[in-house]
Amino acid sequence: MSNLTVRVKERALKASGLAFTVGLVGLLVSISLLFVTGSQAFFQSYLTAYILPSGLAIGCLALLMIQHVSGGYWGYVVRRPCEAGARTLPFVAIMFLPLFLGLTDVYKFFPKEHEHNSPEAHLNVHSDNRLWAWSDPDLEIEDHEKIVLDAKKGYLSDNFFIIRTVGAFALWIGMGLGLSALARVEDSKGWSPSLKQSMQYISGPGIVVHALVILLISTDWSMSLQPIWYSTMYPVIFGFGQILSAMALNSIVFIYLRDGGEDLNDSRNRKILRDLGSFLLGFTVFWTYITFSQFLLIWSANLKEEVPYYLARSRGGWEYLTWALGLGHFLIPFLVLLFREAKRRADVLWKVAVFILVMRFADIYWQIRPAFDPGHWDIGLETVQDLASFTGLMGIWIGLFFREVSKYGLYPENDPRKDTEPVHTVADDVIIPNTAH
Amino acid sequence: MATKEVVKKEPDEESLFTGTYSFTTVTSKINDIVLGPTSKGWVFGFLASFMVLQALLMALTWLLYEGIGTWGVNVPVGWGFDIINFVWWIGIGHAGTLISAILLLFHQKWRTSINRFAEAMTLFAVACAGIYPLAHMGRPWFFYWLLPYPSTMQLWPQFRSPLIWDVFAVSTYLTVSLLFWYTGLIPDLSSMRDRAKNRWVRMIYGVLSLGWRGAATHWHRYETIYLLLAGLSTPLVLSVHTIVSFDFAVGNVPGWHATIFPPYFVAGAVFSGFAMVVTLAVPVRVIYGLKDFITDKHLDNMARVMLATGLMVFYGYGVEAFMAYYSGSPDEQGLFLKNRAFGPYGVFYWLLILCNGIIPQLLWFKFFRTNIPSLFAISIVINIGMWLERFVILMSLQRIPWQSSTWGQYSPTIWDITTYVGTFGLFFTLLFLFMRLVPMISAFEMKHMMPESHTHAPGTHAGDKH
Repeated sequence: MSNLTVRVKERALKASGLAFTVGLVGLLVSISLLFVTGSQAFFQSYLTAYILPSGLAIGCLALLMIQHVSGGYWGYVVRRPCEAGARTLPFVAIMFLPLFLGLTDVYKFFPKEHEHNSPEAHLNVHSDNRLWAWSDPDLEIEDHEKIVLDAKKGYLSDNFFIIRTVGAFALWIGMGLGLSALARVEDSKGWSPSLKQSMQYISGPGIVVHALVILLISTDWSMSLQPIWYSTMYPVIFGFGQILSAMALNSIVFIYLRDGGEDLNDSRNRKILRDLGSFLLGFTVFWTYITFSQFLLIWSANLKEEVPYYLARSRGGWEYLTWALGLGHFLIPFLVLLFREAKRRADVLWKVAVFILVMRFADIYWQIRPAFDPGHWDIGLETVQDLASFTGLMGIWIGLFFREVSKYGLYPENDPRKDTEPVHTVADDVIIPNTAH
Repeated sequence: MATKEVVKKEPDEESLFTGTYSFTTVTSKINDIVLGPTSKGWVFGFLASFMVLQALLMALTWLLYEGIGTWGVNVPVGWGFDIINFVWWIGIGHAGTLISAILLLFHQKWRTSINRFAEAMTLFAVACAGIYPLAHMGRPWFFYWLLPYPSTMQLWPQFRSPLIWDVFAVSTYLTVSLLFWYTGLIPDLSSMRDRAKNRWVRMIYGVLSLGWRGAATHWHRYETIYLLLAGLSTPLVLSVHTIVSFDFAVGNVPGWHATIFPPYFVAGAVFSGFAMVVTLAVPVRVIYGLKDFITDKHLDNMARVMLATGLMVFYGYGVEAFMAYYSGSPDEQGLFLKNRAFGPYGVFYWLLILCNGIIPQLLWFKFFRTNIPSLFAISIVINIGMWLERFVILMSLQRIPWQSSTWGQYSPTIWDITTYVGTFGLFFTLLFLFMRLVPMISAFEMKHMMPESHTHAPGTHAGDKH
């Protein structure tokens, strides 16, 4: 029995069509708002919106490489969606193109008067012309800031930035499409030890390459928006956030594609869901661990170069988002996922996974947006612009993703893990009634 | 989907258990090491370790009599060998809980034959580590001042200091590791009781096995408590070394104040812990003829964990170097270049990169993971490298505090070195006692690994519970 049933394919294509429609509407709203809110707000929103969908694609690639190296039944489950996510990387690269304009005086295209009279504006270096302030030659900064920026001029230069981003995409696309091509060979010619070895030869070094690329990319795309600030933990937070997002997406996709056609409540699926839920629990806790460690260390040292990052996010309205993250990105999913039954029930787990993805966006919003409005969260038309851009880019990416998902079925049929079982634990013997979904 | 009748094994599973054994011969093979006669080799090893332990006692006695001045620490370098060795030993103590708890939760079957050994190693390493902060207090008999108790002198610990968090983290870690280790021992202690010929030996193991009869309810409770302890231990793997890293990172000293320290210290701890397990497991499996239980596959898997955690540590060095440049701060850049990489201790930095960064890359190749002598050599190199890491982190900074008038150098005294050497005596004395007194491999868990345990449908027997 081929598990690529017509029903599953229809479901994936239906999701794809819906997401494309929503995405296009979002993008249209965002572009029309460009004429109202100006190009500054547009580009700031675009960058903020871009990080989550791109992170999902990159996170899928990272998970794909990890499971090729680590093995385990969960890898058999997530392989197909992760390969689909990795195949969207060329489109993700195209979606980045408008952001290169952020290195030019792009704010002047559709100028709109922005008031920067917030008493907290000094918390970050601000440019009136460009998305990345360090790129602006007419930057008005104080002497001590100029010393620091001059010291890192070799790294933070326009050309080098472009080379790094293009290079990063070239590596990601190469690894993603390479692994996907090997999966096609596996589909047509069957699994072989040498094929597995080829996948591992890409994935093992690939993880190392990916970690180094993330160090540069997290610095470029996000950290350098606050060009004075630096944190050695930040690349880990940025890269791990992508993996967490991809795992949440995988849980949603697993449940959505099978819902209504397959018994999600049978013992095998319950074990798979338990494993996905455990990953989400562990990853949520690890996210909290790295995020809180960074905060604690910067708070306690209280250094002038570092602490403005948190000052900018702890006043003027941003403090509510900060608390919301603690509650929504950690406490709520943590408490829910602690319960074994919540992990095993599809109708609970998909809601938790969607909630985690929403919180991922909240986290990214929290990381990026205050760089432009430190210590001052102005909810208004610009927020609408943010949400429209996010809906646009996310919708289009989800559309692309589900179109790719629809192509090659639910499971890699020739993967030898097909004949293994998800691990059985003591807890699986405990039968709790009333688990119908 | 229908549940399959036979649980098929992962392709690699066979090689976790070699040789032909029945349930009985597995038990006797492992338990006879304890119940059999004392070998000359053991007596020699034990006495040698015990002699080295005397060096520790001598050094500590002298310390208590004369004071902390016998160590090389002084202004400006207040933290010397004591902290380096504390962190080194406690790092080694991380493999046990990782193997026991995290690998259990990840259903990694290969943990089975090495878990008890690694847990024992953890306890002994934590014991060695604990000596240093206690001794550094100068008046260790006042150690209880570190605890929040209602003192009439109104002494209260400084809760903002990670050094106080260390007290709680390390003591919790020790307690839970001990419970975990002991719980895992109970079924085997009872089989020792049943097999012992000597009445006294039988009584001692009988008391220690807490009335275990192997009833179904016993097993059910055992599996539940073991899983719960594993869950409790998991955050502890992270917490102890995270707080050790906070000891350095909460301050604002360039080079110590790096936000990546917590995960990077934890990875380093696991790295060194696995290296120590390999260093110990390689000779032990030869001497006691346990190659069928601790197979080449186990060593291969441990080598893979070493490679992965080693890469994380190396990544940490890379991020530190990159951010030192990217910070644009003359202090960070100057510290890294003039002090860490090319300063008076520069040679140690490059040795560290060699030991922890370059040489472990050999583990990418199957040859070095399966060639036991080379794996053994690499594990020792890693142990040295992780010691150098702590040395480099400690030394390259303290010697140049903010005021140049107070710059100075550090060199350990003979008593620093004696104390360090002496802790090896303590570690190996305890390890020899462990190998002689309790089964060093979990016999009942080994039986779950045997083919006979895998022929039933899932959920009907204990063999599936891993």
